[in-house]
Amino acid sequence: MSQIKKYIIFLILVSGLGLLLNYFLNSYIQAIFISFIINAIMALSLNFITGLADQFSLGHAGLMAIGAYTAAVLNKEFLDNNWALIPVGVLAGGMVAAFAGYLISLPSFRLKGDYLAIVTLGMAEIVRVVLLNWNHVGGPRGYNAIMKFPEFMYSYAFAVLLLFITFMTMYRLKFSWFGRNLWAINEDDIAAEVMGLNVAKTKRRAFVISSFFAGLGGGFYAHHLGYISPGSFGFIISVQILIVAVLGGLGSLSGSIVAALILTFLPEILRSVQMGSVDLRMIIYPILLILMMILRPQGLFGRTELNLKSLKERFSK
Amino acid sequence: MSKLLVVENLSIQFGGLKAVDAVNFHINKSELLGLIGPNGAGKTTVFNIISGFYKADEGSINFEEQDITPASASEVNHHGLARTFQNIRLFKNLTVLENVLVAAQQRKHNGSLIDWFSSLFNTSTHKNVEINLENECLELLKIFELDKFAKEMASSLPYGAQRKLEIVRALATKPKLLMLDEPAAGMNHQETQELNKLIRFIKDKFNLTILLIEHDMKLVMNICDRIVVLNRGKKIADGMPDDIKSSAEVIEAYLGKRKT
Repeated sequence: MSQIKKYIIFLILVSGLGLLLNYFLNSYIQAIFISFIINAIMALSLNFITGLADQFSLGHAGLMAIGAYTAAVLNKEFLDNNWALIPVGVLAGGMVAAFAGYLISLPSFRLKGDYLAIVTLGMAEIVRVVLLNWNHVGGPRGYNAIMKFPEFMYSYAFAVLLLFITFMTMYRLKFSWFGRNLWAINEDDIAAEVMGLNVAKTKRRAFVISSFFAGLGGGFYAHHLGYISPGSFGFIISVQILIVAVLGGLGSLSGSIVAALILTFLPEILRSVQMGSVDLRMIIYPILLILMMILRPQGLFGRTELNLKSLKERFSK
Repeated sequence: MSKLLVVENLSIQFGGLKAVDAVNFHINKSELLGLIGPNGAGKTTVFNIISGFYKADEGSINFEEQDITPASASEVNHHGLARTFQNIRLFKNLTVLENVLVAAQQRKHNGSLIDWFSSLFNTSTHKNVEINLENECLELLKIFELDKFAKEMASSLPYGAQRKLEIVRALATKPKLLMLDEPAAGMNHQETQELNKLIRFIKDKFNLTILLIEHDMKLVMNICDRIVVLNRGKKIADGMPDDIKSSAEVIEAYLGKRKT
C-alpha cells in the first residue's frame, strides 16, 4: 500500500514540476531541464558498467550516436515523421545500440582497466568516422529535419518516463543477484570466477544493458534537438558523461542524477557571472571540479544511494 | 575407496621453465591430502591448473570420472571444486554476508529470463529466494561464528577471521573437494592450532575431501592422511606422513645433501 502511495506522490510531484515548467518558465529553462534528463540517462548508463562493475568505458558517445541515428533515420525515412511514433524510434535506437554494444563487448572485454577504456574509445571513434563518411545520413553536414517533439509536455513526460525506467531498472538490478555479481567483479574478478561466476559473460550482459540505455538517451536526444551530426558525439561527450558519473559517485545511481542536475544547471547559472569582459564561468567550473576531486574523491555519494531516512537522521543530529 | 580426483601426467611450461613436469597423483574420497614442497616447487601452479586458471600443456585432470582439463575456472567450480587463495582474495568492500551470498547465489541464479524479470519487478518469488539465500548464508556463517560480523565490511575483519571467511565463502558453493592454498600463511602458533581444528571440523561436518598446500610442517604432519611432495615441478614422494618424514629424498629436497 505504501508503495502505491509513494508512486502517487512521485507522479503528482513530477506532473506539478512539468506544469510549472510548461506554464511559468521559458523555453530556455525547459530545454536545460530536458538536457539534464538526457545527461542523467547517459550517466546512469555509464555508471552501471563503470561504477558497479568497474569496467572503464570511454565509448558511450558512440553508443549514443548509434541510438540517435537509428531513431532519427527510422522516424524520418520509414515512419513519415510521425510525432506519435517517436517512442518507437527511440526504443529501436536502444535496441540497435544494445546489439552494437554486444558486438563491441565480444573482443573488448578480454581487456580491463585502461586498455578497455582505449578500446571502447576506439570503437566510439569508428562509429563517428563511419557516420562522418556516410553520405546518406548527411555525412559531416549532419542529419537534419528530424521530427521534434511538438509540445513541451510531450517531451517532458517522455523524458521523465525514460529516466524513471532507466533508474528503476538499474536500481533493482543493483540490489539483486546481478548487482552482487557486478560488485564481486569490481572487487576481485579472479575470486569471483573461482566462486563459479562466469565473469566474461556477466560483464558482457552488463555492457549490453548499459548500451541499451545509452541508445535510448541518444534516440531521445535526436528528437529533442531535431538535428544531429557526427560532431555532437565526439570524444568530449564521452568524457562529459564520465565526469557526471564520477562526480555523483561511481556506483551511486541517485548520485548520477544529482550530479547531472548540478553539472547541467551550473554552467548555465554561471553564465551570468561576468567580471568586466572576463567570463568567470570557465574559471569557476573547473575550480569546483578540482575542489571536488580533492575533498571528495569518491564522488558526492560514493557507492551509496540517496536515502531520505538517513538524510533526516543526519540533519536531526 | 574410490578416487575423487585423478591427475595424470600433468605438465606446464612457462618459457624455458618446466614448472610442473609429468605429475601424477590422485585423491580418494573423504581423504585429506597434503601437497608440500620447497618454495618454487610448483604446488600453487598445480592448484591453478586444477582450478582452471592455467591450461596444462600435457596431461589430464579427471574429477568424479569426468574430464575437467579444458574447463574454465567457473566451470570447475560448478563441477564441485572450490579453492581459497594464498594471499586472501575477499571482496573487501562488500559485507561479510555479501561475500558469502555471491558464492552461494551462483547455484540459484542462472540468469534465466524469469530470473531477470523477477528481480526487475521485485516479485514475491524473488523476495523469497533472496530471503532463503540470506538465511542459508547466515546459518553457514553461524557455524563458523562469523554471523556477528555479517553486516561488517570484509576488510574490517581481523586477519584470522578473513582467512576463515575465505574458507566459508568457498564452502558456500557446496563443493565436494575443497582446495586450500596455504591457509596457515601469516598465522601465529595459536591461530594455526585453531585452523587445525577448523579443517578437521569442516571435513567431518560437510563430508568433504580436502587438498591442502601448506608450509607449516607441524600442521601438515598432524592432519593429513597422505602427503604428496613436489620438488622442481616433479613428484618425489607420495605416502603416509611418517614415511614422508623419513624419506631421504624429501629431506634432501628441503635441506640439501649431507656431506659425506
